[in-house]
Amino acid sequence: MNEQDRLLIERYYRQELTEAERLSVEQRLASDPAFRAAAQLHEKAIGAIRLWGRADLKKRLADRPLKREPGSRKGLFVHVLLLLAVVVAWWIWPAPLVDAPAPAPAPPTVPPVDTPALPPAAPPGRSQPAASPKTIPAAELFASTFKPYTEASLQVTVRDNTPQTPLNTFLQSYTRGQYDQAIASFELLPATLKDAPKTQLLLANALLATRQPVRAAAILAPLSQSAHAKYAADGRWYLALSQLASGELSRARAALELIRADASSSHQAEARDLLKKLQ
Amino acid sequence: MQNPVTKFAQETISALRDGQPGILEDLYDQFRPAFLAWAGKRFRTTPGDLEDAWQDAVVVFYEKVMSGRLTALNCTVRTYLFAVGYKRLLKNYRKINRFLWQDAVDKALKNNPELVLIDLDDIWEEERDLLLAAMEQISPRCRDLLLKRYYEETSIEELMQRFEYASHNSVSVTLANCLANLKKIIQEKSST
Repeated sequence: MNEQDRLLIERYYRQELTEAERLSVEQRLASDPAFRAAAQLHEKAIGAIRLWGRADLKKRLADRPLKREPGSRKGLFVHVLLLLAVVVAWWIWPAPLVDAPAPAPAPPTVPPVDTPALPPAAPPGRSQPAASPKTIPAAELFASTFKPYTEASLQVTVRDNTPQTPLNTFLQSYTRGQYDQAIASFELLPATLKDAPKTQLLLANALLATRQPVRAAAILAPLSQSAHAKYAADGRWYLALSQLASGELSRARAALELIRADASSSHQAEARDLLKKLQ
Repeated sequence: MQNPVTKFAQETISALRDGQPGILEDLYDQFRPAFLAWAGKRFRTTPGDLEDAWQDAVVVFYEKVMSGRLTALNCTVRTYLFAVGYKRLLKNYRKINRFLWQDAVDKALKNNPELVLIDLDDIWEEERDLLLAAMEQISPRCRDLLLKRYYEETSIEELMQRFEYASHNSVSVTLANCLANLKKIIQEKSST
C-alpha cells in the first residue's frame, strides 16, 4: 500500500475527510479488495490499541487505594429508618422480585427455499436422525449429515429485555436456531465483524440451515482457502455439504476426498462416512 | 445563563479533553460508593461485578469524551455514569423488578434511549485475545506512543514534547512505523 492510501485510510477512520473524500474512500472500499483489506487491518490495529488502553485504564483505576466516602456514617440513623420503611413497603406490596425468565427458544423457522427438497435443519448442537445408507438422495443425505456449526463460546447470556449489541443479536438468533433472523441481523454488524472468518462461517451455516446452499457456497469457497487454518478446515467441510445440498455430487465427492485425506481435519471421520454413503 | 448542572458537566468534559491530571480518578472515587450502593439495590450480583460495571462506566465516559463523541450532557455526570453502569449490568444480570419510585437515572434513560450505547463487547473473544497478544509483542515505547495517540488522542505537538522528538515529522514517521509493525504482527497471528 502506498503512503497516500495509508494516510487516506488513517484520516478516514479519524473522520477527518471531507464529504467528497469520504464518498470516494467508501466507493473504493466497495470495489477495491486490496484497499478494503488494508482498511480492515488498520481498523483492527486501532481496535488493538483501544482494547489495550481500556484494559490499562481499568487496571489503573482498580489498583488505586480506595478513598472512604466522606460522611458515610453521618446519616446512619436516617438510613436505618429508611430501611425499615422500605421493608414495611415491601411487606405490604408482595410482588414478584425478579423479571420473568427469558422465553423458551422459538423453534427453527423454515423460510422459502432456493433449492427444493431440502428438509429443515436443527439448531446448532442437535443431531439429526441417521439415515439409511442405501437409496438416499443427496438432499436427504445432506439433511441427515448437516449439523449447524457450534462451539462453546457462541452461547450468550443476553436477555430479551436488555440492550444488545449487534453481535449478540446475531449470536442469539443463531444459537436459538432462528436462522432467518440471524441472516437479517448479520446485515447490522460492523464491517470488520462481517468479514471475520467466524462470522462468515456462521452466516454460511445459517444459509445452509435455511436451504440456501448456493449462497452458502459463495461464502464458503473463499473461507475454505482462508489463511485462518481452523475456519478454513470448517469452511471446506461445509462447502462440501453445500455442494451436496445443491446436487453437485462430483464436486462434493472431490471436496470430501480432500477432507478424508487430511489427518488434521476435525471432519475427517465424517467425510469418510459420507463418502461411503455417496458410493 | 448556563445551567449549573450542565456547566459542571461541561467543565469536566473540557478538563478531561485538556488532559488535566486526576479528573478521571476524582470522578471514579467521588461517585463510586454511591453507585455500588445504588446498583447493589437493583441487581442480584456480586460486589466484584458491581465494581467492574463502575469501572466500565468511567472508561466509557472517558473514551467518548476523548474521541469527541461526547461533547456535552443534558444531565449530571453522575447520572450519565450511573446510566452507563446500569446498562452494563443489565446486559448480564436480572434486575430486581419492583421499585416504588423512579430516580434521575431512570428518567434520563427513559427520556434519552440513545444516551449511552455500550460498544465495549462487539468483538469475538479469540479476536480480542489475538489483538491483545499483538499489543503485548510490540516494543514498550511503540505501545506507549500508539496509546497516547490513538487511545488518549494526544496531539502530535504534545507527543513531540513528551517523547522529546525533534520535529512533528519524526513523531509521524515513528507512529507510522509502530503502527505498521503492529499490523504486521496482527497479520502474522491471524494466519496461524
